[in-house]
Amino acid sequence: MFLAPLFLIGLLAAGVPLLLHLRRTRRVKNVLFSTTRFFDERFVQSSRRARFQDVLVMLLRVGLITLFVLALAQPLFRLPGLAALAGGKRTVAIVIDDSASMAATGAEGSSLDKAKRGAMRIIDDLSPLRGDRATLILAGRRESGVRVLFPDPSNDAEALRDAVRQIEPTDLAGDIPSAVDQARQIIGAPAATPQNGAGSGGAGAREVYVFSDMQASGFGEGEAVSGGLNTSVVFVACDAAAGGVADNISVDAIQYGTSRPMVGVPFTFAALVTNHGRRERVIEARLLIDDQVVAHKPITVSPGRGRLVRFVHRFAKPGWHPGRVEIGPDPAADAKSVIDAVTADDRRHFAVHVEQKASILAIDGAPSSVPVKDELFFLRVALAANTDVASPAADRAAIEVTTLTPEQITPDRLKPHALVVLANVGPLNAAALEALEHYVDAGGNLFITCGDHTTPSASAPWSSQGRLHGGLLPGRLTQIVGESAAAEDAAGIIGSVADEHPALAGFADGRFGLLTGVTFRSRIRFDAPPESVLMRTADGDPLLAEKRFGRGRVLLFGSTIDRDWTNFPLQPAYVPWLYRIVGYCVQPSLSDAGFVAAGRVVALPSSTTQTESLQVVEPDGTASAAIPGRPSAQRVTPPLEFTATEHAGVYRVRSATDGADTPPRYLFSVNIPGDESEPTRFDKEALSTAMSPDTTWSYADGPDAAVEVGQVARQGLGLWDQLLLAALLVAVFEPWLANRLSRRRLQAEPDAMSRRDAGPSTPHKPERSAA
Amino acid sequence: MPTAPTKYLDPAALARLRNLGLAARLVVEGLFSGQHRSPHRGYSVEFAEHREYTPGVDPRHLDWKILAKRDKLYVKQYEEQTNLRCYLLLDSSASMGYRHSGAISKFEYGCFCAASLAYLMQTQHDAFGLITYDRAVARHIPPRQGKGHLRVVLDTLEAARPAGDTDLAGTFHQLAETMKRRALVVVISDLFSGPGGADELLESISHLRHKRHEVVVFQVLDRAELQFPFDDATQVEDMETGRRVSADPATLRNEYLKKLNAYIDAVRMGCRSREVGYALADTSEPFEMFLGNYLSHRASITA
Repeated sequence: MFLAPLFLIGLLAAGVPLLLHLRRTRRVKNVLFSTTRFFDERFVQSSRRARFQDVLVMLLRVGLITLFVLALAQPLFRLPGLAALAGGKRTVAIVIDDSASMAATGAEGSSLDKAKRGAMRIIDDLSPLRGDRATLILAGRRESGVRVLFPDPSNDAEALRDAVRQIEPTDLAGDIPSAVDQARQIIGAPAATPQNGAGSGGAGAREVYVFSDMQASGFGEGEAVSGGLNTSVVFVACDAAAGGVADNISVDAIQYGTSRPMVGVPFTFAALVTNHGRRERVIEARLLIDDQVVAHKPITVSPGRGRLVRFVHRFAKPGWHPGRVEIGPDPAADAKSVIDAVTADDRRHFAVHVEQKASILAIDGAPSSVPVKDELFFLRVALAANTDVASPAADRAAIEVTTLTPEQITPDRLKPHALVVLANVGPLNAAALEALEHYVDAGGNLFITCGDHTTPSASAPWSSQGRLHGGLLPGRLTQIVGESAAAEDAAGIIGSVADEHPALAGFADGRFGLLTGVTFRSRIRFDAPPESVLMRTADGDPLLAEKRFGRGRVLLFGSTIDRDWTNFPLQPAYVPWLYRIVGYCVQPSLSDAGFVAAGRVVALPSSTTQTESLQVVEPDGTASAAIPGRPSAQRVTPPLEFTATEHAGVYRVRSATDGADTPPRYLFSVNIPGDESEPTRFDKEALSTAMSPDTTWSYADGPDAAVEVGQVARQGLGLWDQLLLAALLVAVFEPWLANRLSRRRLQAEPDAMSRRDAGPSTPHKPERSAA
Repeated sequence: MPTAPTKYLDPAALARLRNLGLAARLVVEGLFSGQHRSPHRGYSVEFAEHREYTPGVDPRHLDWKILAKRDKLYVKQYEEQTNLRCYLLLDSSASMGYRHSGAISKFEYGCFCAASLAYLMQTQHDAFGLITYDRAVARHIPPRQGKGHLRVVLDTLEAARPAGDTDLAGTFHQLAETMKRRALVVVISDLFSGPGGADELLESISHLRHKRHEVVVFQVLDRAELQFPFDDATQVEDMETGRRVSADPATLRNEYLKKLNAYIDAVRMGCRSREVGYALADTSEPFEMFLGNYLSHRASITA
């Protein structure tokens, strides 16, 4: 049979060379000629050979067209007995895309409903008596791995049906390649390459059915989908909204005006609303805090463009506040309750911790009676400034700085402060060091800046492996580079900034000031793990690094916080940089996970000195216990992790021992991944670009065709590649032969008359004239 | 010799005249237009008869004695003795009947050539004879002169039809033995004769030369024989032997022309080495042009 039989019409073209040949050969003329004395037998034989070659060329041309047309028609060589010969059993993996886009609704229900309907048909087509088995895999992008509902393929059709019925839409992104790969491993298909791992394989047909809306983002970027060898992969398009997703409009991101909201201080939320459609949209954007609409405004978003919507809110109470920005129809222009088929991305959640007043403790390692020479002079000045451009009327410094000397460090003095700054502090006594370790482990934050007192030798105990969590420092200090009297940039300049980090976001593009003018006369080189480095010099040396330490964290800056080793305090970027660093630190350590993409694993900071059990209350009120994560080289003590982040909303973290009325310890928000809002869908042609060449796959337009396409894929052997190859070979050989023949024929012999004048035809001199 | 004619007679048009004599006269008069009389005059050796004088007759031939006796003008006529005897050997085999797309066959072309030459001979009071042959001599008219003889020759040509196969060499050997008196032998043929090839033919021509005959060979070929313009699949049937050859025409053409050219070259070179005149005629070109070119060329080398 043929997958594209319409192309067979092209076989008519194969008759053209045949007709031309027949017309030419049938037009044989019987010529009465004066003599055949010049036609000897050898020549007649050569003529027979030429006639044979003519037939051969004609056959090649017919064959070329036939092969090409057949290849276009995609013939499938059906072997009904193949499955029986292989044992007859079917091992089926049903992959259902449960990503957020599958909730898109059309006239026939949601895309997920269509997918479930198709999956049911596949299950109905299984024969438990024959030994058919199936597994069920959800293709939502989960950091913890693809969710497999049946780790071992089951022949219990009813259990499979129940599992399908219970599948609900999530707010995840899609991850088809991982799901197919997981399916391949479960059904025992050998991998295309040995290193990919391979199941031992079992007898019978192996089939993978992928029910998805074919959203392009679900196939990743440049990641080939491989179903392994001897496995047929059937993609079943289940897009209920069809053209409806083209009008999708979404809230893609929320930015905070500052990193630290304070009671009574106006705080800015900036929401990025993107119109993925092709027409201009007028909608209403709303800000909700603690489930109350506190602001709303109509906005107009041009097609294909994003629009930043700013809301300013003044928090009245300290503590955690959940909230969200959502979009909906403009009441004045549109009365519909939904604005597009994909509603999951019409809101974005957040959770902010509002401080009554931030208080930080600064340990001055190099105090001076001259204010400008004091190590903390620039820090105090910078933190006294107000950088909240959205609230120019703010009339007070929100950060209160308390100063101590290193000798004054005690646990009680540390505890009230959200952040301790060690500014060019020399060797610490054991009690002070231990107090700092316990302070950070319990959730405190430490910002260490270097200088002539914080030398590699002085700080050696801070990074000793024998200390708690391997020592406070993110990296061991190794060497002082340059000196204070050296040239301005003797120790280098800033080379790179981890602009994806919440403390430094915005510095890469200069929105908060350029870091390019910052030079270092001296600095301390330290060796931090690459993933913990937030800033580097142009030489690649770490300049700012972060380390999780229990429930708290430590930031290490490789130069001074004042002008001793650098001109940084004199640069415009210093104030916002310091403000962001301090603001980042004074927030609970979960704040960098304030925006968690659905499906990500959330690490919940926990103290090793305080054994505790944490619970996470999901948006729907379900409480789940966090589980310890895997230990790593950087983290000897694994944090508690929470993996069930499948639904968007605000998650509350609390101690299992807390009472119901106790406020949550902290909150984090989970949102739909941004790429899930992309309306681009793969059709069959686009899908071919995402498939691994070693994979035999087919495509069904809808769930109703899944069973039939699966049968074809199971019983058939696609021959189009081989036909195309054969056509290519013929296409190469035919011109060569035709050219050879025509060249031989075109070597025309001049006729005798043309040679008459040039030839030796001069008559002899007659003996006597005749006339 | 006259200059080359400025206007040629279309062979096909001449063929439509159905009058060989008229056609031959048109050709010859075209050839010698402007010429008052033949530069070759015979000399009288023997008295034949008296004839009444008519104006225009050369007064030198007046018989003055009869004028004195009877007061009447008579002229004396003599038995003229020509200085040339010519045999026109016309091939009448079946292959000579070939014509492709033109209106005239090789045989008809040869007839016109022979008739023209005969007319020319007659006007010059030369003796001419005609021999038609295929496998053997079909018709033999001994050389004579005079208009009456011309009529006989023309009637013979008109009555002749190409048929049968050819044995040129055998015929020429036979004629060499039978033609006792030295003569000009004009062979008009396509020279397609059996499988013997050019050597056998040239040997027989050598035999004629050995008998001190002057030999001129006019090889008459159709344009299709010279070019083989068949493009479609072709089955060739030999007009003499009936042999059939099916072949790819393009391949056939090259092989055929190669061998034909080799044969013509061999004949041409053989004639040259034997001091035999040779000319190749294409039936599609006017034969007075062919004859004129040949005769003028011949005159130029005999001058």
